[in-house]
Parts: sequence; C-alpha cells; structure tokens
Amino acid sequence: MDELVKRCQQGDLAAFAELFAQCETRVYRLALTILRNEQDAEDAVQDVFLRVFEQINRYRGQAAFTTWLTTITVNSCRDKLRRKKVRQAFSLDWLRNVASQQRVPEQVDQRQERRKLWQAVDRLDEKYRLPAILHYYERLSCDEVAIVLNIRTSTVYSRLNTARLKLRALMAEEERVWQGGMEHS
Amino acid sequence: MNCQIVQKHLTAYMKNGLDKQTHRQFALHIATCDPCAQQLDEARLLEEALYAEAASQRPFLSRTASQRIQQNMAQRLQRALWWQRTRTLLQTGVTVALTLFIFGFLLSTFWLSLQNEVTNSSVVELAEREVEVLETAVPTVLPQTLLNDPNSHPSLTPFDSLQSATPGFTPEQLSHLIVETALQGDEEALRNYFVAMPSWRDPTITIWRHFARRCASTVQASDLEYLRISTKQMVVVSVNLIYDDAVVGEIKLRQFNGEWFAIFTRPPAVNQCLIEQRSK
Repeated sequence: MDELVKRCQQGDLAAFAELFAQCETRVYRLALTILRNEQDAEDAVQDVFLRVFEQINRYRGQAAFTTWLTTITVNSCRDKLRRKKVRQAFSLDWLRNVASQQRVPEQVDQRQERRKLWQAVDRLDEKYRLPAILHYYERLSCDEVAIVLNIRTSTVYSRLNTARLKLRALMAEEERVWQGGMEHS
Repeated sequence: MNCQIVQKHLTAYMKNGLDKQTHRQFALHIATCDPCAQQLDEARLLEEALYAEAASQRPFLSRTASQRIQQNMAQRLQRALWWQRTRTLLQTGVTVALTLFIFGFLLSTFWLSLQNEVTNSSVVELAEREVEVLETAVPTVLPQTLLNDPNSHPSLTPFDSLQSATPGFTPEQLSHLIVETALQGDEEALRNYFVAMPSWRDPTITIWRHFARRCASTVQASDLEYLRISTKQMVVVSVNLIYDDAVVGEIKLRQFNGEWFAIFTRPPAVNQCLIEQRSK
C-alpha cells in the first residue's frame, strides 16, 4: 500500500486507479454506514477520492494510510450530513422500517435483534454514532478512532460508554413498543 | 472504587485503556460486586452483537456503480486539471506582468534619480565656483569647465553668471537707453548693455557705432517699434528701428534671472540700406 501511495504522490495516474480499486469498497461501506443512502454514499466515494487525489502529497505517513483515508471519508460524510440533512431523511426511513416491522410481526430471532441494534445506532447523535461506527463497524482501535475524529482516546472511551448506555435504553424502549404491538394484535 | 466510577469508565476498562493500578482496582471491584459484573457482561454481549451484525452487513459497491463513479471522477479530474493548468498560466502571466511593472518602475526611478544627481552635481559645481561678477552685462568670468570644454555642461550658458548693468529696466527702457547711448556715441557705455561672447560683442558695438555716426541727426529714440514674441522656452522682445518706413536696425532682448539683456542686433546689410537712403 505504501508503495502505491508513493507512486500516487509522484503523479502516477495508473497507481491512483489501482488505489481506487483497492479502497473503493472500504470507503463505500463506511460512507453507506454513515449516510445510509446508496446515492449519497456513491457521491461520497467520488468526493473522497478526489480529495485523496488533491491532497495525497499532504500525507506524510504519520498514521496508516487507511486511517488517513478513513479520516477523509468521515469528514466528507459529515459535510454531506450537514449540507443535505441526510440524517433527518434517514430517520424517517428508519421510522418507516420500524412501522413496517410492527405491522407484520416476524419471528424474533437473534439476527433481527442485531439489525435492530444497528438501527438504534443510527438513532444516536452524531457525537456517539461516529465513534460507534468506526469502532464496531470499521473495527478501528480506540486510538485510531481518536485520530480520525481528532479527539482524545479517553474521549472515545467516554463516548462509546455513553453510546452503549443509550443503545441499551433505546433497545429497551423498542422492546416495550414491540411487546405492546403484539398484545394489541 | 465505587460502582458509579466503574460504570462511567467501563469501556476504558474493557479496552484496556486504564493504567495498571486502576485496572487492577476495577477488576477487584467487579469480582466482588454483582451489579457491576452484570453490567460488564451486558456490555460485552452488546459489543459482540454490534461486531457480529457489522460483520454480517458487508455491502459492496456494484461493478456498474464503480464504473459510474470512475467515469464521473475522470470528468471531474479533467475539469480540475484544466482549471489547475489555467490557474497556473494565469498566475504565471500575472507574475510576469507584475515583475515587468516593478522592474520598469525601479528602472525609471533609478533613471530619474541618476538625472537628478547629474543636475544637482552641476548646480553644486557651479555654486562652489564663486564667480566674481562685475557691473556689466558681459560675462567677464566664466566657469573654468565651460571655458575648457563648452559642451561638457550643456545646461550651463554664459548668461547664468550675469548681472544687469540696468537692473529693473523694462525692455522699452533698455532699448531707449541703447539707442540714446549709440546716438551720443558713448561706445564704452554701449558695450555694457550688450550681452555676447567677446567674439560677438565687438562687431555688435561696431554696428551701433556706425549707426550713431550716420543717423545721429535724423533718427530719434521714439522711432522704435516693439514686438513681443513668446515661445515655450522664452519670451523675446524684438525692437525695430524704423527709418523712412524701412527697418534699419533691430535689437533682440531676453530675460535672464529676472533682468532684461540685449543679446542680438541687426546685421550690417540693413545699415547699408540706411546709408543708401541717406545718400538719396
């Protein structure tokens, strides 16, 4: 990867194409997780790689390239969230999903529970949501999350702790709603 | 160590983010506190569930979407590169124009300062030579440099060191005085009213001496006609001496340092005309 980055820094377009091929899925997944909209995620991929192309010479190798790339992706997604207010739109999608699940109760298995858990993650504030996504979804260490979000590692621990408590509360609430729906039906 | 602190820093404990001593204290507390142990178990289960679901949800970018992104990026990159090149060209152009402007400005400033230096040095040189000026319109003492090489100081003229023999006179008064002095035949006094280099002054005086000798009885000082000619560089007063409707004599007057001086007179050929008329 380092060799590829060096070639990109020397202006090798073929190397840049190769870098894109290697990292596009990673960037897309993270963007989709944050933005929850395929079109926005595709746009974000474009933005991220254009930024990488423009700023590749600023990368000095202090952190791993993937961490640097993740930082750019998160910042790009944050911009998109702010500009297009995707988050509000997505919240409506989430409510629709919950409503549809309530109308047609399915067999509650472990997998569905986990999916609800991630839906609950999406309801968290950005402050808690991004560390959760980067740590649990992208499997970044807490130190790496701190670098990407430009905060201290102790703050990452604190936010993950709060995120976990909020998730537990949300899941408990979800459980109550679901049980109420079952009894009503 | 109490339950509140443990619950607040549980994630740090789980991620081994505490220092060794605190970690040991946490471990001891959790081993002896059922609610905190339960909290830890719940937290681990929640984390496992999050990790597991994240691992199962691995969306991938479709080939079509990837190609679309690459095409869009190629277009945007082309635009970005075009703009980058244009910007570079514009920056280069502006830089060159600014450099030329600054260079021209500096060059002109340097040239002007050089010019001033030359002029100032001439003035200083002249001022340093204290020329002793006599009560005469004729320059009696000239700067040494001018005598050696008249072309070395083009801005310097023989008239720069003059003092008028008739201070405060108008061109008319001076002309009258010249004519009257000539008619009286006072050659020595006449010499003082004309400005010229020595080689010019003597013929001038000779002309007026002849004029006085031949026209003394007929020409009056009132027979003078004045003509003021203004140019950008100077004001010249031309005084014509009229005799029988013919110009028989002429004096050109110029102003130097606020005083009027006679600098030129009519050539002898006109005086010849006067002689012929008298003989008729």
